[in-house]
Amino acid sequence: MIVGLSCGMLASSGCTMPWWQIPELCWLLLGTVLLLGGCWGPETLRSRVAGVSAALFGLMLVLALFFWAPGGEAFGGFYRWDGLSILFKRLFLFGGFIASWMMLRSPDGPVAHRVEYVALPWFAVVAMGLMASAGDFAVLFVSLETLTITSYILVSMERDRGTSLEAGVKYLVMGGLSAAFLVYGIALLYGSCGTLRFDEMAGRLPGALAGDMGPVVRAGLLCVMVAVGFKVAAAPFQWWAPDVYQGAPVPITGFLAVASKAAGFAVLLRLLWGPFGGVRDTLAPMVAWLAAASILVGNLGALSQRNLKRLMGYSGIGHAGYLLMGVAAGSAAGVEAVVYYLAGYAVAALVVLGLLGGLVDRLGGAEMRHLNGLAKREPGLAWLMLVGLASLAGLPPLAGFLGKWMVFAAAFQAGLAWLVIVAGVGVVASLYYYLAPVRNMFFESPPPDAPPLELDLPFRTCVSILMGLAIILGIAPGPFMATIGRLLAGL
Amino acid sequence: MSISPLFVIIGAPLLGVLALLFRVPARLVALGSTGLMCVGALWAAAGLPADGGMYYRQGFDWLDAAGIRVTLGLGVDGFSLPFVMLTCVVALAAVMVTPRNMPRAAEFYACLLLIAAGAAGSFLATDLFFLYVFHELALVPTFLGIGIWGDGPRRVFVTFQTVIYLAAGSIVLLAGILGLLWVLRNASGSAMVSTDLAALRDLAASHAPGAGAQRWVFGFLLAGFGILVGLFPFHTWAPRAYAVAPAPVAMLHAGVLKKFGVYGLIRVGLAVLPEGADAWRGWLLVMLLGNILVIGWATIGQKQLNDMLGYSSVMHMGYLFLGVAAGTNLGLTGVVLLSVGHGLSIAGLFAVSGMVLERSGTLSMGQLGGIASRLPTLGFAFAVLGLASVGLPGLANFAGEVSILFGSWGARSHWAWGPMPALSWGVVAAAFGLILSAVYMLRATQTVFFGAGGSVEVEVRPIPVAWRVAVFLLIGCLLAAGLAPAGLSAAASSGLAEWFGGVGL
Repeated sequence: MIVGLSCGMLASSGCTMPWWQIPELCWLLLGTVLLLGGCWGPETLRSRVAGVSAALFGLMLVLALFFWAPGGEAFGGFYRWDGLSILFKRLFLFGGFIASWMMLRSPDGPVAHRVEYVALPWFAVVAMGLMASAGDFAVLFVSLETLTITSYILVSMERDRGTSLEAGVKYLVMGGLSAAFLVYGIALLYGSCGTLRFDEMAGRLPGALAGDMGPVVRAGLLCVMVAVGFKVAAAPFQWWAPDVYQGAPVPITGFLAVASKAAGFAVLLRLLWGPFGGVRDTLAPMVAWLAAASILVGNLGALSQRNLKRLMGYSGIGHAGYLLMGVAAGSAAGVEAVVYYLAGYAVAALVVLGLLGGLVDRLGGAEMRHLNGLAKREPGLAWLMLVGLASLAGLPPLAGFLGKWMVFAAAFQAGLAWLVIVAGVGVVASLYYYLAPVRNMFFESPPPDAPPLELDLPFRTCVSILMGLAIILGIAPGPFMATIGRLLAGL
Repeated sequence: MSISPLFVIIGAPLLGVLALLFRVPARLVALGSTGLMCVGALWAAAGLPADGGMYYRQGFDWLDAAGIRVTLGLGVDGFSLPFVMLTCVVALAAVMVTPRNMPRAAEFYACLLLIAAGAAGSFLATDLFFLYVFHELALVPTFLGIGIWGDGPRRVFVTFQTVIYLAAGSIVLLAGILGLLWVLRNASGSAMVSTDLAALRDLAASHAPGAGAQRWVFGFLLAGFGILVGLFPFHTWAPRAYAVAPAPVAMLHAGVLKKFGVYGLIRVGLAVLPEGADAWRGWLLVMLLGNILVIGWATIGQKQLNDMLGYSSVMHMGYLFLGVAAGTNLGLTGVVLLSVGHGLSIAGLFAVSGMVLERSGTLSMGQLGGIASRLPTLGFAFAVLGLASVGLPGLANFAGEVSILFGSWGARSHWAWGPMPALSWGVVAAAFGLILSAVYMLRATQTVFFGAGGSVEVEVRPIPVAWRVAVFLLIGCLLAAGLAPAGLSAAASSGLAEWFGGVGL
């Protein structure tokens, strides 16, 4: 039944797919079962709910990787089942899978609330999947709100820790603000175009922009872009990210950094290559400026950070900037580069955050000084961390480098040479802060009374697999890029 | 797919790194992999065709993205072969001079092997993308090598300064590479441009980009490659880095990796963007005179042996750039010869200074003295290597310097001053620089090794056999290349002629 419900492959030939085939329904069901089973189920299930969740995520990911084929739509066009949405749904499932795997072992997680903690990512993934497939502004808004509300709970899960609550509140304020911008923008666009449907709006928007309603359309576009800017943590809408990344439990930080950022980009691409397709050239300079600001703010802000989670927050802003470069290029090459970059970023960021999540309580914290001498205590883990950081810094032969190469090349082709130079400044700055933890791990001595770092085999396996992916994506990107190219062919 | 020596040269160190992940005798693995590299280099040299063109070529389609087709291509020609051989010899020597009691030995050898693999790969790549990627591979091992095993109170600062400087150079270079591809694409109007170097050269010959485009792209390439080599005024990272780095890392970096910039500038810059190179020739001359005269002067003032060697290494880069500025076949052949000679001699000198540090605990030239009377091997080795670096006839550096000076004399340049073209003035200044280098090198030899006894105690015990073998291997190569430079220079000259002649593959 699960296969039948989740695969969606049956619809590959036809134009419409039956509503019961959309995978989000299956995920929703699984999330509900996990939640209820974790609350009232037998003790054996309740104690293993994180493991069950990770296994189910893994199963869904396998189905998504091997059985999905694009084509068709459901709910009369409200739900799109195309290559773009498939690529992003795979990325969301991957994020959920790794986050739940990290929850198995993450000791800083809130034990008392284990069931929600494990089940809520399912609802978040459902919301993200719907965002990536949205064919209508109403669907987009509802799914975005679902994701945001789920994220509030996940971020502030550790109620008795001040930073966690602070992060939750900041996220709430940010979410409220961005939702307000979004709904206001949607209203203005509806007012000027008379439709919420993406495909219909695509045809009417250029005319509306040129006509009497031009200023209203501009205001509406601006509001929607601001809301998306909040979601992907692009400067100047970035201020919430470092606090939230620092305050949230580590698996949730990883989940937000990877899946939630990807969801923001899914929406951005969906909009710019959907309803805003006709006015993309008008919006491209704005995206380019957002990219430049994010690269500078994120990378320069990260320079002085001493907390690794916070550092990942700032560096995440910088990575959003590089990703926006690919979007600003406005070409198919740019979109392909963005998808590749997101995958490479996901893998590398999860290596770093995953290791941190596994080690944080034994190290005594997530400050850089807590990493002192890791290379002497656990050389293998230190080298894993080094590979993750090097990939984030964009050093070959890792995925991070190739992602930057493609994004920069796409920007160059679009005539954005100045943006490549700004990005170069960001890359050089980023090397400093990505190497700073390496200094602590490799150059410093461990504290004298350091306890042994016991990290169990499943966890090591998970991080090692992620590192292997960072290397494989970097040295053999051919098949991966071919898949991306094939799925994005109709964009 | 047949097995080629190039796979051996790149694969051996990489497999060595993989092996070092497990509990294996680290030194043996490192010796084995670098030894295999040398075997591969000899094998490749044995197959060199008379015309010096690219051979052992193999290429695989790797990626088509963003309008750029990247092929994973390997090949070697008479121009790159000397650099490859230099890499292999210096890598072997660096492993051999590493002390047996090195702390965290497996990690150290892994760093050395990664640097060697990166250097060898960048010389063997026939593809612009991989030329860059292989060189970048060496960045993290350099960081770790200097930071973990370096010496001195400002170790961490210097480590960060070096790596960020090098990364900045790499990013400027990357911008130049992407700019080059973009300019060539616009000039040729094709949707897909290949990063294969020969294809780029041919494309630039058939669809030459405009002079303005050539000028700014070459400017980026010159700045990027220049930072990596330590072209004045982008040199400040180099002396400090070499002063702090452990001897084997300094050997590999100063001896081999730094040559990548000069190699790349010739292989890519001069061959693909000749007009751009013309436009920058005057500036290049000014900068390289900064290397020769300003840095040469600064070298005389150094108080630490390692600082002195680091500065002298930067100074000699000026001669390499003089050959590049000339752009004549003779001048560029001299660049190849001097690169080999300088790489071998500076590697040997750093090995000696590393041993001096190990035995006396200091490198301050004011405190050292008379080492040769107690450790004659060190004195002999330093004297020979120092004389080589000054340009004593019979050693490889001399052949290189002479070819560069002859090749640059009267070479075409845009402007003249007084009776001579600018480059000839450069030759005069460079000849004066030879006197500067004789001053500092002979003075160091005299005070540290042959003068009266110094104020610090030198620990006298036998020098390890491996160390002796390594340094005498370097000296032997210097002698061989210096007494019979014809083989190397013929290979380099014909390889360069082939490359610049624009004859197809």
